[in-house]
Amino acid sequence: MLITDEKIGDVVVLKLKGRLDASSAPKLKEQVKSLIGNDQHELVIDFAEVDFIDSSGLGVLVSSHRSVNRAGGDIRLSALQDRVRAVVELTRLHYVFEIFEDAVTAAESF
Amino acid sequence: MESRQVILKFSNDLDYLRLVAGVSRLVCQAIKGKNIQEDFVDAVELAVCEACSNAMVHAPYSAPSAEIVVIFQVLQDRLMIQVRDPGPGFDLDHVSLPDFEAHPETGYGIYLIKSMMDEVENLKDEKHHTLVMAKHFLV
Repeated sequence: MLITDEKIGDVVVLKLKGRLDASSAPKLKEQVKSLIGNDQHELVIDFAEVDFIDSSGLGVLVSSHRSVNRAGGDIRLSALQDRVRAVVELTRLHYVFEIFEDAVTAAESF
Repeated sequence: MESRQVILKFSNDLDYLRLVAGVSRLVCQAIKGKNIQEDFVDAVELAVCEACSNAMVHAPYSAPSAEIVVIFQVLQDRLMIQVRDPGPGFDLDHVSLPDFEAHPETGYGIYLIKSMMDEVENLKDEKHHTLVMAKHFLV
């Protein structure tokens, strides 16, 4: 999975590309941890180019969300493809995350 | 797919998950005359990948050299998949649902497998654990 980042105002947008699964989830976890260490606490994770998520990917989203919350910030999600959204909803995690249609709208919601 | 069976063997390395995903989709797409829809393909891919990563990550005795075997069998009314690993396995009946109020960080894998597939059971012998899953074709 490829992760690129950009800033919209004070918000960091992590754009994922590929599959968020057991092999790639640790990479996202490390990236979020690094951002928290750099006092970046307002994050958007953009799923526009993610076509698969599994339980490991979900787990990293939840753990990252908790870590950012503890630091006083939030993680918001954007542009979930139908297939990814279905898994997020099946596991009730749409009650944990605010989800937006696109990254700009998510970033502007902070 | 004349034998109507595909066998995939690989070592305990999460990098193989992409291969597993690709083969899962190809097997589904190669099934003729069963009105296979995209949601069937997506469900099988997720269930098989979950089962394999579960075998690789959680099976405590799965050394890097441990072999994971996935067998896809196209039957008359369903696609049956077996995922075999050398670990001790677990008791499927004692895997509880995730605590949806607490939103845990782990424990979604078996729930997802059961949600995606019509039948799930596990078999154990002295050397292996096998998760057996099936998804029925639409009539």
